Amino acid sequence: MENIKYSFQMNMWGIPKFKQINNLAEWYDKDFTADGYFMDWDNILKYLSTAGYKGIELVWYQIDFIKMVFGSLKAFAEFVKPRGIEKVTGGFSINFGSENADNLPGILGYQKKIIDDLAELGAETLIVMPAGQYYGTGPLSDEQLQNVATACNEVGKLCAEKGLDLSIHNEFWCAVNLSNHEKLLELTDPKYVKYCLDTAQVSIMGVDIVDFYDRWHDRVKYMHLKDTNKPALPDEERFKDGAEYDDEGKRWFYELGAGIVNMTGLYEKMKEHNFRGWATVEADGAPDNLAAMLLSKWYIDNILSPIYR
Amino acid sequence: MKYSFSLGTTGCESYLALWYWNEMAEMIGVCGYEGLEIPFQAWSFNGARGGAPVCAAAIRAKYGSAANYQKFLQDCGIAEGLSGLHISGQNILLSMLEGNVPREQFFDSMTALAEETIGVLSEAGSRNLIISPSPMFGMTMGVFHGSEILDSFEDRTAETIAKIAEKAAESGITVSVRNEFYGLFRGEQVDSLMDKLPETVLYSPDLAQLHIAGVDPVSMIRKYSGRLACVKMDDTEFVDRTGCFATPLPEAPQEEGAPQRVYCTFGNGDVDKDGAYQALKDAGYDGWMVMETKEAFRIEKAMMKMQAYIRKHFA
Repeated sequence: MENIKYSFQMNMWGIPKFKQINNLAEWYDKDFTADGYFMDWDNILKYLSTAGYKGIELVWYQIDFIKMVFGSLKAFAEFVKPRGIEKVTGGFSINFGSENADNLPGILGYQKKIIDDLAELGAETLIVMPAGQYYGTGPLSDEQLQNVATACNEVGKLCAEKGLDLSIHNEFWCAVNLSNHEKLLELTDPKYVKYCLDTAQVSIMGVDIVDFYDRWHDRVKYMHLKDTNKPALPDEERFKDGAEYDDEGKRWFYELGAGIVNMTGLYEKMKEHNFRGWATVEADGAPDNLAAMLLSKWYIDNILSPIYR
Repeated sequence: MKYSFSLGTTGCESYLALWYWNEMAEMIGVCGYEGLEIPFQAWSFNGARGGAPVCAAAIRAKYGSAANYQKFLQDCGIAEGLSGLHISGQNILLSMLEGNVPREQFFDSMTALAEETIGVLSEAGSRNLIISPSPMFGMTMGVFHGSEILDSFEDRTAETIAKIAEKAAESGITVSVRNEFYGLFRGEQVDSLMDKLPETVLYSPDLAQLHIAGVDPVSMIRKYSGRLACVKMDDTEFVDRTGCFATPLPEAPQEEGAPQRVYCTFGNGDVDKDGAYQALKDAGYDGWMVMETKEAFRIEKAMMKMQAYIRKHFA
């Protein structure tokens, strides 16, 4: 029995368009490209399961399109199974404007719809970026950080009513950042608010993920796995407008093993603390999703799983 | 006639870097296009932060101002820079759904986006605002089901566009209407809307959209002769045999065994492009021809292939 099961974040495959492609020739003839292989979720899910992924994770803006393409969320949950994917493990969303207490009712209404949808899909967690981007929002005052924490707690309660966890997710460009991300964890209720450790985002922010996991392992119930070669990015890079999308196209994120994140050290600690749960591999910024998901899975199977599986 | 490149040939992906979009502008200039038309969007969290020049916030954040962007395009060899900005009811409705905006605010949202876009055009010294007023038929029916908005949609659309046109005219900007095969004003159903609009509001035929709607684009060009602007030249082999236009995702037909590719690379389809060109010539049209291969697989190839077609067939 494996302790870690692997899921794949579907954001880079975009908004679902086709359930199945009927005739590849329609897309190949006269254009001579491989695009037809990557337009439908029938094929994409098969690629994932062949690589050994057992789950998929969604982003909030994909869910309404899934309803339109597949007819219902229930139909989608059934669609993934015969293609070798056990379930939708989670969904990513953002608590926009949570630093302002006046925005709480709107946030709860917004997130409730996503939580209801994720529950219908059988997901286990709502992964939440706790506030908007740093630029234009940060630095947060103590009162603003408390408001962010309150929003997490309240959304977490909504999640609990539906049998889901809320997992805080740090981004290197978020208003909650290096100086206060642990304070936010302290301010939130462990009963309702867990943590999703994103190995690259947190490294770019300037955190040693092995030490962080060692200290916060009780709250870390979920993982986002990716690598980076740009750890501890200076404040001016993280806090500028649109920091996630660098003007020169610098890649922040790489496939596992292609950067400098101490993944083997993390797996030693996961073994020590007996981590059990889902870990989502991400391909953010990769120019080729298929290559990224295969390379990361190779690293997991050959380097990380021998340490802890 | 002047040839513009539609940025709709790309996927307008915001996550691609400014560097990518700047290189794209250079290629458009090198390929000989004299203008650039952009499918313009309402503010969104991703759109406003990214490098693609697809909304007012992105242009101002990345280039300082629309005037700077216009100069940048001209420096890239796109002689007249922005030929026009195209806003759509579909984007407006999707933005509203994402932001939990009540459906009753649809026409206010259209006015707000139009005014913001007029501001960008004015700052850039550009002259064309193109509006596709209807969201997709299936989505419109779903969102406005049971609302009186549905009964008065055409009248309220006409009223809103007329007001937008008045506002645009203050900045020397012309408004034109474009219709898609999947909208409430599909094919010749746009005629009734156009009848309700002042003559100063022009018609922007989209050849592939008309073709899929089962209407001969040539006849529409003749019908609106003297009232044309920003003619969209694109192509398709698709025939809507199953009423796909009314489904929630008309541009992605799901029916098993049926054709699914709605748009094709320009030049590979069945649209009577040469007939349309001749009809435009006969009408004495000397405005923009907006060339598009919607969301092309190979953007640079499509960009060149469209120029090759212009040289071979429209010279």
